[in-house]
Amino acid sequence: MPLSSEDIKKLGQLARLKLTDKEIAQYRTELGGILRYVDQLRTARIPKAANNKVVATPWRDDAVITWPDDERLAALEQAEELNEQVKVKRILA
Amino acid sequence: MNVNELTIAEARCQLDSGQLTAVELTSACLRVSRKLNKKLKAYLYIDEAGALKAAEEADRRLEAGERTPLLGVPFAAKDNIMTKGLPTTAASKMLGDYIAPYDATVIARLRAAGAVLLGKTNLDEFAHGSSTEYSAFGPTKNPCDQTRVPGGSSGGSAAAVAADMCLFALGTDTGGSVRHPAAFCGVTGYKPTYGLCSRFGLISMTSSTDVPGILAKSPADAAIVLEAIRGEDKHDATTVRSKQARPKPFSWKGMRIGVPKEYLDFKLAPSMRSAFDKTVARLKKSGAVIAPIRLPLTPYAVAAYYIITPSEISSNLARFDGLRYGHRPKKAKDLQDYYLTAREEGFGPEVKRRIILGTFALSAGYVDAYYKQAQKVRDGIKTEFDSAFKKCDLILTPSTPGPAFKLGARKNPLAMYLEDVFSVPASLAGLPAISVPAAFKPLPVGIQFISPLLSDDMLLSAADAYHTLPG
Repeated sequence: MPLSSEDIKKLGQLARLKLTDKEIAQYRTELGGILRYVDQLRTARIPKAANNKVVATPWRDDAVITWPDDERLAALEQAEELNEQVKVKRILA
Repeated sequence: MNVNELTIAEARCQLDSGQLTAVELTSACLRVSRKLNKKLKAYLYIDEAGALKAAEEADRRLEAGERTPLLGVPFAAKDNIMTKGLPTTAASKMLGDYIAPYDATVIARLRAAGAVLLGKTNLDEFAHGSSTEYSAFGPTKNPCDQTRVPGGSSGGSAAAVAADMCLFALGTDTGGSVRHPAAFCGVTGYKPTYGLCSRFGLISMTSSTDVPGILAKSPADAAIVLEAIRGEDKHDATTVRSKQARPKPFSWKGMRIGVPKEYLDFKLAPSMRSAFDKTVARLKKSGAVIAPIRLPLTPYAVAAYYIITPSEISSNLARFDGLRYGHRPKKAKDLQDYYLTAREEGFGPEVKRRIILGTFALSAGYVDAYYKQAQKVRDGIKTEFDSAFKKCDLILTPSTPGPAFKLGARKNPLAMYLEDVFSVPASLAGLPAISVPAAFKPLPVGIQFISPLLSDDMLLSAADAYHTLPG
């Protein structure tokens, strides 16, 4: 299925990707080719599911797992600014 | 022979007898790695100080009388696997200065076993690719021919093993990323059953098919490494409890080897075709029974994979927004622009391509036609494998359509995706699979064995029996 430049731009917005006009043109051609190939999925003849074993998801206790302090701090130290709290960009206007 | 060229099994004898120390073995690997890395770019980071410290510790344990399989054995790890205190970049500018705060479970288990981590190896950015050319830090070269790619996405790990820069390496395999470069570099590449080894600490790509994998100099070495990393992990709910099967002497006599017609319908390079035909003949001569089997959905596997994978990628990579993780842009007008710029500057072209494709496949109006249809095909592929394994014990296929291609030869993304045509079906079905070298001249090519879920021990025994089969 062919995609328009508008489609690519819209997908870029949904995926939070800033795309240049050159990228839009490039991805339009490339994704068009990939989707033409992928479209063959519609013609696949799928055998009746024999009995694909469904593996049950294991349960774990609903309990706090304490993490080693050094690893927790090493993760926090990579924050842009750390002062008892992690400072991030303002996300509410 | 230099000690860095030893297999794990050979090094074990020398380390245990005191003929060789872990520091000597580690130093030899570091020396070769430093020397060859300038040209090959197999490593993104070599941790000399950390490796020597770990080797000294291993020597202390050896002196104290400990005799365990990986004690003092140097290895490398793909740079999308978390290694505490060391850079873990996924070969992306997005994580260019990221330091992992903890060890992946597979790394923690190897360290506890006394294995010595040498450094972090190159890959296609976020493991998206089949040539290691999509690394944001430059491509790895194939040690067998430096004008060619090493395959991917674990190309750095495969090249490091092939060039004897380490004794084994960890990779990750989502659709063939361990088996493909192993075939191109002439080494063993093993992808475990999904759930046999923990994914905790792997940078997520396609959570439903990602597995840690092993690149080694022989299937026997891969089995030694598996023993150390396998098993349940409370940090990964998809892991299964599994103990190593009691080793049985392996014989090809009466083994039913399934050869799927559909795999051979693809265009194969002449060297791959001839290595495959010779393999079939050798196995027959050894007493195996060759069983023709049908896997009719094989031609659809790449199409299904390249819908499911980008879909999971578009979701898994949403966390890299400059706030929660990743590159922070210097300038941005507002919050929206901050996100857009972080991702524009941080991601390379293949990552963006996959995110856009996945966003499309999951978007309203298309999810049924693409994502859900791909999942149905995936279920069908599982069903076909289940039926096939009623007629055979193992499936034999080529590992790749041909040998390593020239750097820059696959410009079209679809042509690159089709490199994975033989490896994605086992990934979609969660099955264990292994690529072993079938010929080395003029360039290495590999053959792949696929076996039923959780039959990994049998698979490794069979691959080792093939590896040691006379001429």
